[in-house]
Amino acid sequence: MPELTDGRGPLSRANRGRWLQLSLTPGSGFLMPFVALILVWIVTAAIAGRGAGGTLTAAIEVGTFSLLAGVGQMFVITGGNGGIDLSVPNVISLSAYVSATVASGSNGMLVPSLAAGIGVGIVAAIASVILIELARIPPIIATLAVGFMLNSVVLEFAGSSNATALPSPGLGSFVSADVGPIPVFGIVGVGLTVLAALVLRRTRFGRAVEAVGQSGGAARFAGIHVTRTRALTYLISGICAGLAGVLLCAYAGGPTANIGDPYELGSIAVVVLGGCLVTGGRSNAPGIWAAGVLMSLVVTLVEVAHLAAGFQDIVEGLIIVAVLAGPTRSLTSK
Amino acid sequence: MTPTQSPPKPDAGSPPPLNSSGRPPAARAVVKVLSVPSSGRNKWILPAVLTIAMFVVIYLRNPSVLNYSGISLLLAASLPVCFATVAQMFVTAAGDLDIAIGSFMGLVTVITVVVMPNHVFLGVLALIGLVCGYIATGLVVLFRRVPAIVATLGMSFVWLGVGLALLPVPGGVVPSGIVKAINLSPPLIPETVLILVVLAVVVEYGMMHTRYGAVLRGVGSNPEAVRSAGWSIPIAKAVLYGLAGIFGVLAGLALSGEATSGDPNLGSSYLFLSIAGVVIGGGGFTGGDIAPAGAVLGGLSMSLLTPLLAITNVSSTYQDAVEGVLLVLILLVKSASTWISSLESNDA
Repeated sequence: MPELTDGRGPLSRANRGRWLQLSLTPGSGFLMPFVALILVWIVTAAIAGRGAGGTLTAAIEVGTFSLLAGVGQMFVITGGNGGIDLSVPNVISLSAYVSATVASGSNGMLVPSLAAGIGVGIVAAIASVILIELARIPPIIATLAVGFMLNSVVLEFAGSSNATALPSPGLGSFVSADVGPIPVFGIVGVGLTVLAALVLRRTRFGRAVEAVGQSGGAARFAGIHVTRTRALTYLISGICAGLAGVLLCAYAGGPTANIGDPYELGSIAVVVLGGCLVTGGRSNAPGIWAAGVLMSLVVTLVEVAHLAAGFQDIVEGLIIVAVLAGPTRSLTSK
Repeated sequence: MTPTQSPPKPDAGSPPPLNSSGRPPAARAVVKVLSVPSSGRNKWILPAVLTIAMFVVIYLRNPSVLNYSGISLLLAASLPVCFATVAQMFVTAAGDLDIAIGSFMGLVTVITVVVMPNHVFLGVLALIGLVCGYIATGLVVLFRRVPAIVATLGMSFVWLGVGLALLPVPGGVVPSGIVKAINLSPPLIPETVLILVVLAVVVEYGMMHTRYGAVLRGVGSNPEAVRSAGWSIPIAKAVLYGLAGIFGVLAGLALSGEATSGDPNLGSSYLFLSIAGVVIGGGGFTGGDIAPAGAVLGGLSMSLLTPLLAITNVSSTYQDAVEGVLLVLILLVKSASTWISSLESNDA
């Protein structure tokens, strides 16, 4: 079957057109997070009665952290085979400590500290990939185990209370800077979204990730290196989480042991809300962005409505369940 | 591989290939032993060996644990872990995974301090309501064909949120009845040992030796067969999630009895512990692949880790790392064992 094994993969023009069409059709999940985002924004602004624009830009700024963690998670989940990265929160926390220790509060060490934080993510990803692809351990267990090992290192850092472990002040002011009314970090987030969307839609690797997620066997026949493709998704997730750790640490002004905790379930939640297929095979980078902003708007909504802190979690949980229980969007169930 | 003196074939001096039938008897024996933990009924052996080994290490460091009060103390934290592991096992029997168990247990502790002290009946009703919530989750997973990981992820936010709304700041007092109930001192055998033995026997018998147990396992492994045999899949799925909810409530009650106060985040470590307990106990995630007695032993060994590390002077900082490494090692032994037993069956 030369036409199946010539290494060209599912990159035919016809296929590409079909995907473009799918991703722009309302109801395929592409628009849903944006609709929800706008609804929650309107409700929030209506309750607060003022500052609608400020609420949104603040949410875009904070939501970029969820986006960063969520984009990596999206690649892993889209790769299929039960792929999920539960080490994200621990990578974020460890990266925060390691980068702050390297930076020691100086701008001169900015680049090495960024590299160190990303390095944490790469090491974690390599460990996960070895366990998943070589030892054949289910991804959920493998990444959980890797996360636990990292967590011990985090606790070791937290226990040693190194007072000079501070992020670069330059990075901190960059993350919270504004150009006029627009947060710089929000622009970074939009740029990252476009980059992720381009990688997934327009590169051979991105098409391979979705193909592998839809059917590993079919992708293999199409000449795609399945193991390498899945391994790269974990690498991307590690790099994203490592970068998120450095930036979050700079934003918060210093590392803490549980700085990454909200992103354990949060990174998965934005993938679900973003309209990606949780069984793999279909991604939606703009949806992740909208879901990240939506999640931070929900926090604002609960605050302006003077609801108890718990309602934030209840609303987020109910949104997730509602998305799941809504119109079936599964590729396999038709 | 051990070389032997009684070669069945003349070329025994050179290492024979593993899948040749002319393998030396000693090597055969090794293969036989290694393949035991992966075979159906023997899944409890590996966690049993692990648990006994941990007991022996603790005993060697501190011989005074081997009496009534020593064992009671050692097993003090085991009930919530073992109940949570059994709850997780019921969900894995359906081929699913429960992300919500930790926040569910946290919510149960909140209900015991917020509702129980003044309105016992209302508290019991609330706990029954929680179990119904579990059943509803299972039915959403079944009918909407969504991955259980994500459905239970959503529910974990809901449980945590309800817990935080009811009790924003950890605290309160657990009714003395619950605290007393898990601190009974029956004669001769410590209460925890009794409960764990009964738990292991009941779930092992119910799931592995009854007809409906086979149906429940079939939901995860072969739903078509279950359906064509005339059993209802939705009912069986609801039963599995209901049992998970009931054991989740028991785990939460044991946790509140142990902690004596409520906290929505109190259960957060039990997600990992329950999954690790199931895996170490010999269960898998492919549906129907469960080891009920093994799950109890797996949970027990996870709960022994804390005293084991304390008694061997390992900093508690490394407990997480040890848990992670242990989990990976067990899984490696398991896959090696499966691989070896597949070689064994190739022989025949």
